[in-house]
Amino acid sequence: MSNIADYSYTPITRIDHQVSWEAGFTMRSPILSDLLNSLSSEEYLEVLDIIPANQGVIDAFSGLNCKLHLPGCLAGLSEITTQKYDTPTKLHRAFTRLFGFYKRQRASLNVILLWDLPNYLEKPVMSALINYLSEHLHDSARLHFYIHTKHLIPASPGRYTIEPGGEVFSQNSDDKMVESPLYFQEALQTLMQPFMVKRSMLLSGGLQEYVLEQK
Amino acid sequence: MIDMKQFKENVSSKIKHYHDEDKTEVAETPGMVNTQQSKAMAIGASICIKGDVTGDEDLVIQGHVEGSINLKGHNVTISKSAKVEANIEASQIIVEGELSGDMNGDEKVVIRETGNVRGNIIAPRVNLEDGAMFKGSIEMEPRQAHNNSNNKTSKKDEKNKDGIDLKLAQ
Repeated sequence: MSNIADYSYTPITRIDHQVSWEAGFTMRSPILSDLLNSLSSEEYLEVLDIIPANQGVIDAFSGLNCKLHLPGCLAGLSEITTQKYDTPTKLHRAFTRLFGFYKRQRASLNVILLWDLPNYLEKPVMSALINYLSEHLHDSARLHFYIHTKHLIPASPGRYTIEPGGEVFSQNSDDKMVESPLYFQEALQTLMQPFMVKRSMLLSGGLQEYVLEQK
Repeated sequence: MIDMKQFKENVSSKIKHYHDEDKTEVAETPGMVNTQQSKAMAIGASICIKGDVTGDEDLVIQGHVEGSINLKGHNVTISKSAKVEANIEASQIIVEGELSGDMNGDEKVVIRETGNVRGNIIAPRVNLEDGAMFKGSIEMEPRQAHNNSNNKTSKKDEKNKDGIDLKLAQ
């Protein structure tokens, strides 16, 4: 028995990223978990999730009195470049088309889930996106996303879903790798005006989790 | 005058239907589909309807409907082959085909693996199977509030086990 103890060790942190991205892995996402737990079931809420609709996200919000906007616009957003949309008006139109927030369908968003999209947008596009979303915010709006801390990241945004226990299942959707923008907190705050970082946490999978609030 | 030959044929076909009643997907009369729970009216694959559909029984759509469907208290199923451009009000709505329109389900809305929906949903329960396509919004009513609050307390105990909290700004 003592022999086994001599040659065994317990890792200090659970190393989620050893599991292949292709197969996907489950990670704890404490900030998202706290965000979900903090939502009131009494108050009417509006939530925007940009990834393709999935049951996990629907279930996560199903106990609340809320409207879940699921425009499924992740692919469309990640394809927006300043080369294609070279003026603020063109960008605004593109966002309206993707989100479906036309005049009669204006939103007052309490929660926005961007997942790892910010890693894949050009900086001017990111600023324009936040600027666009700021027209549809509730006073208490919170913005949640992940920033990659590794130099190389998959070439396109990952797939995510919220599991019944509140953990997040993450799956790579691209075998190609590209360089990460490696955003620091200050850079993010500059890009994401009028939001400011409320809380940030480094996850064991190599993702930095953020939640931002309006100033 | 009663045509006895015709009469015998009718009687024998009715007896056959009576014996087949337990089987699913048996057409009893033209346009009827016999499901496990109840009989449902079917709009066949080659049928195209433009206008408002109302009624007092379950409906299975296999064809093309444009307009609105109002079957409060009943179930509507949009089959794989169906293409529907309509707002739907029903008790339970199951989508296996293509739908462009809003759904108001008193009980629940189910979008199957093959379903492709663009529109808004108002329902207390929404099931989205893996592979189903949905773009729009879901208006949910509060439910399982008690269960949720129980989950919250248990989740709070577990939180912050992983990761390093770098900043907590007030």
